Amino acid sequence: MKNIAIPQIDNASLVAFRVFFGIVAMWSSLRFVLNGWVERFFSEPTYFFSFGGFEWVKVLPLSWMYAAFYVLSILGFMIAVGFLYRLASLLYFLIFTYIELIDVTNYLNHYYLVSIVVLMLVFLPLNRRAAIDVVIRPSLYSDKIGVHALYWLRIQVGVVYVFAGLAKASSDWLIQAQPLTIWLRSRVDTPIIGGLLEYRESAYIMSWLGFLFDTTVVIWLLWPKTRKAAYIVLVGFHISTGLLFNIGMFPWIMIVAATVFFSPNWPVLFISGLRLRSRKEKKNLPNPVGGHMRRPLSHVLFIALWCSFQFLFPLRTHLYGGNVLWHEQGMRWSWRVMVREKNGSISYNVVNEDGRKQVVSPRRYLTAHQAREMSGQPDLIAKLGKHIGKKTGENVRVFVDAKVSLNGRKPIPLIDPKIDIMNVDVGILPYSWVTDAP
Amino acid sequence: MRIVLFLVSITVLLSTCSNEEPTSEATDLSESSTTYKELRAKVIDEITSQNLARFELFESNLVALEEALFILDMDFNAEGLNKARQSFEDVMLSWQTIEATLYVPDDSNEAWTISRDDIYSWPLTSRCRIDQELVKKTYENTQDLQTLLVNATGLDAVEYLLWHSDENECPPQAMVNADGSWREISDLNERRAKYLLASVKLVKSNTDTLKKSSLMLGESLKKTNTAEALNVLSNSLYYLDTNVKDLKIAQPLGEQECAEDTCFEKMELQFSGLSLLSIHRNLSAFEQTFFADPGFDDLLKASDAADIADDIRAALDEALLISTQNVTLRELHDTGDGLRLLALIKSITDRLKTDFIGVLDLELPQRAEGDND
Repeated sequence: MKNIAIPQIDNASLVAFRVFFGIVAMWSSLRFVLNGWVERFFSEPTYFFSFGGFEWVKVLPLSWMYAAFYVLSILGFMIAVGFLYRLASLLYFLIFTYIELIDVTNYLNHYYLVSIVVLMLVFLPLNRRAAIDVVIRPSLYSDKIGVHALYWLRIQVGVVYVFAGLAKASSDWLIQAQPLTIWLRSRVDTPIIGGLLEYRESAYIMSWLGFLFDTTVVIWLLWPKTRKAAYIVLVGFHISTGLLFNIGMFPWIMIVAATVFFSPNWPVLFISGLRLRSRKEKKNLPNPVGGHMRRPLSHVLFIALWCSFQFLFPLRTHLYGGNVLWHEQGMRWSWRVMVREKNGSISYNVVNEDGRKQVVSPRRYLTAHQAREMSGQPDLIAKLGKHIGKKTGENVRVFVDAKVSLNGRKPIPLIDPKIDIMNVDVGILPYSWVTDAP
Repeated sequence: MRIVLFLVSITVLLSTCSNEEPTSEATDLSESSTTYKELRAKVIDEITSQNLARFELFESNLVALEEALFILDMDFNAEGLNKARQSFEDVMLSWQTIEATLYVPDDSNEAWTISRDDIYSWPLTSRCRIDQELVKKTYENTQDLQTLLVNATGLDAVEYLLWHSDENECPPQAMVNADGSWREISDLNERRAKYLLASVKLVKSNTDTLKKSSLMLGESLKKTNTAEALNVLSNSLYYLDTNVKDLKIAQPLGEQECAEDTCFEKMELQFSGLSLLSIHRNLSAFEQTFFADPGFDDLLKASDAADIADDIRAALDEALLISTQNVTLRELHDTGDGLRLLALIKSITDRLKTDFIGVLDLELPQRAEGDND
């Protein structure tokens, strides 16, 4: 295919991103082992919720699952130090994504982000500087990279922020300040600011600030004049949400990810800034920016296709109409982070061929964690219902008693209790068996 | 100015899209003189303070039962047996209050040496196992008794032994029947009395340990006064779900885990006839915790969700009324009130698992820790 000329920039910023991301990836995997989550999430359950089309993904024996997490930690370290970088990135992507595909109840937006970013690393040559790969093969060294690489990462990170912000443009978030009102009141023990969290006004202020932050932070990061201040605010925002809420590595991933908005040579300036005192000396630093590199047009087209998908896919929920927080169609892979407090009480009424009815509790098949996660997601409730029906016998009808509360509202049935769940479709078509949102 | 106008327009626009408001209207906490944290501290203090009196009542009832069994051991007769049975009823009903209010942290299995099962292991009880121990006279040695599985000791074993018939409940192929050792027993009543006495002594000792752990935990929760402390206390409310609704009512009534129309063989306390009264005590205990002064209902009111407490109050009042009848669960079922009682309790537990934990931002018991986003 035809080559095109792409402006080249200093690769220092993206190399630094590789190092930071590798460290976060290593730590993310290690803490799973240290917290005992490998056993809890992959050995204790007897039933796993598959993602549509990935039913063939099965959990491995516990010792293999532990091995997978240890390997992930090592691969994260290899990415950070740039040793066999592309292979390490590819393996990290495959193993991490495999683990995420085992059970839907483990799905988190930031795990999806890790999968996406590490897949991008497979295509990005970020091992040409400050990497063991360069020590082994000096010919690899380069301090330049095509500007397309930088914009690719910026767009991906920007998509996360913008869609997380747009998800907050709802009456619950902005008018009722929910679920923040609920969440903040239970966090009055937080040092320093705890006393303020008692008040509903705090939830309103934080709801609006959160909305404005997510929707506009990319603009402030892109504008050189506001970049520093925006990043300081960003770090403060993520650290405070990390302290307030149990969101694991998400703050650290975003703090690292947002560095892609810095000047491409910021690490050089930063390190030099520590050594060079005068402004003149700093100005005289070599700047590799300038010139062009030729790259196949297919590379650019691939990135354009990727970005288009990332722009369009989170919007798919609008094809379904209704409230995505209720029916959840289009909820996953759409960056709708921390926007709902949803709790359900679920039981299945199983009617045998002879008309005898039995009530089956999800806890018979699920761990407490799985039952909690499932209780607000109609597709998972239906999948378990079908599983229970199949286990019970032939010609069994299964009806769901699913009382669900969204953002503190009085619980109402999430699924039409008169519909036999054995006959419903849990694909991509609209769920006619899910009730209207409260 | 433009930004302000923009925000105002968005607010107006979105308010028109709003359907039902997430929570009901109520006084804002900021207008009240008591902060949420202070109120929570009072709730934790009140609920944990109830514990000591419950244990003391239970322990005094245990002493009375021990005395009755001591007399029975000296001279096994019908009058002594009746007295022991009456004492057992007091013990069991006071235990039912403790059991339904026993708040334990999720990791209690590792931290606590004595659990609820060491005092009352129903529905794990193995009657055949108790009969086998009668043959082996395990009760003669305290250490041997302590090392037995919980399903052959505790208050459930005491109930079985107090209402024991001369037959055993082991299958014909079990050793005690196959080798004829059961038939060879000539002093069954004496053995029962000794087994009973030894079991109650063990329950007393276990209760002492459990009480200390529970009171220590209570003190620690009081001191910390954190969201986590409240969460630990809320764990006891879910006894109503898995134990009362599912095990005590739904299963015997044939609604759950039952291959026949009914499964009254799964009914709790079927020998002593306390099956319904125990549920009544559990409901009263729930009331004492939930509607303590102040209790979870006050936290709900402070969180603009008084309707949850009101709905639970209404269902609980009716359930208490139904369960106060002096009949067994089987007899209640015959009158048609059994399923009504089940529905009422389910309506309470539905709320506990949905908007109650939502509004107070609590976690259900035994939920594994993990990340969110």
